[in-house]
Amino acid sequence: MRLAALLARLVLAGLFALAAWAKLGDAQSFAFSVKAFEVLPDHLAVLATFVIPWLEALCAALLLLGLWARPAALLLSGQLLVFIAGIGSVLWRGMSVTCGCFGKLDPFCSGPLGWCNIAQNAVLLTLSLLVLAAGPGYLAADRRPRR
Amino acid sequence: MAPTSLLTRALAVFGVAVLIGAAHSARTPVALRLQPTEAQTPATTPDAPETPPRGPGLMISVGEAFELFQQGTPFLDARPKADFDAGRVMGAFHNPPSTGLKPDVIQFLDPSRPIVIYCGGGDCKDSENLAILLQQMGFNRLHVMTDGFPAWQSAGHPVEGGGGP
Repeated sequence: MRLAALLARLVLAGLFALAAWAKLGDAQSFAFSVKAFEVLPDHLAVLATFVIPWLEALCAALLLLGLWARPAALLLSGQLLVFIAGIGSVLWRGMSVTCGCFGKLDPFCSGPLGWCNIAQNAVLLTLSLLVLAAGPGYLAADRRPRR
Repeated sequence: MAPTSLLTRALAVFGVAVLIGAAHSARTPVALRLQPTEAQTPATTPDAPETPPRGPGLMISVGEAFELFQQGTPFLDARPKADFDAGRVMGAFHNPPSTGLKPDVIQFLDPSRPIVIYCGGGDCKDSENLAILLQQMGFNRLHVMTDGFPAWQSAGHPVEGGGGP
């Protein structure tokens, strides 16, 4: 289980670091994506444009180090649940919205938001819940010996 | 880890993300709404009743777009590539906002001249988003054809590509 937790931690850290880098590298495009969901007023959409990638970056760093890994996994789990709900809302309303999940990159799903994006986030949520339940696993600062 | 400690630490990380995000937001302007420029604001205020009209506004109809088309105004298609390939306004350039501004398109545009932007009509926002990107680059004579390509095609105006003659 500790090995699985380590692997989950590293996969999540890598993917969310990539996602944060891509979003912060083109904040205007990500702002368009946030606006397209039509769930936030403009001022909150602008704030979310920057808070979401910085939250992903911080959580990625914590997961990579294995420091406060479970709080980071809790936050990412919450964020992924919000994303899944948001995508479900978009599909239910029949809207055509570009993801913006990884900026201009489309590593897993291409085109407008769809069931592929929900599946992608469900897989990430599973990994995140694994870290939340099992802890950081091997090679984690959280498990360093205490003197 | 105790549940309270877990939640406290999660909230602390979230708080730091909000603070950094808010600071970043204050330093990096992003625009969500298209702003009419002075050249596009209709001059019909009571203070200036004698001022002649300054031309089409920011949001234009298919008829106004066709008048600009006849004057040689460049058109930008903001739709996805598959839609562009299937049919477009004759001579339109392709630049969806998700790709950012394409240098090979921008080089043909003059910031001081009118430009018409369109997408698929309806609730499509790509033309407005592309116009925002162009405004940030100093283009201030932009016109968004609100009814989009379907209305242009229905009106029988010149098209090319898969949907054209």
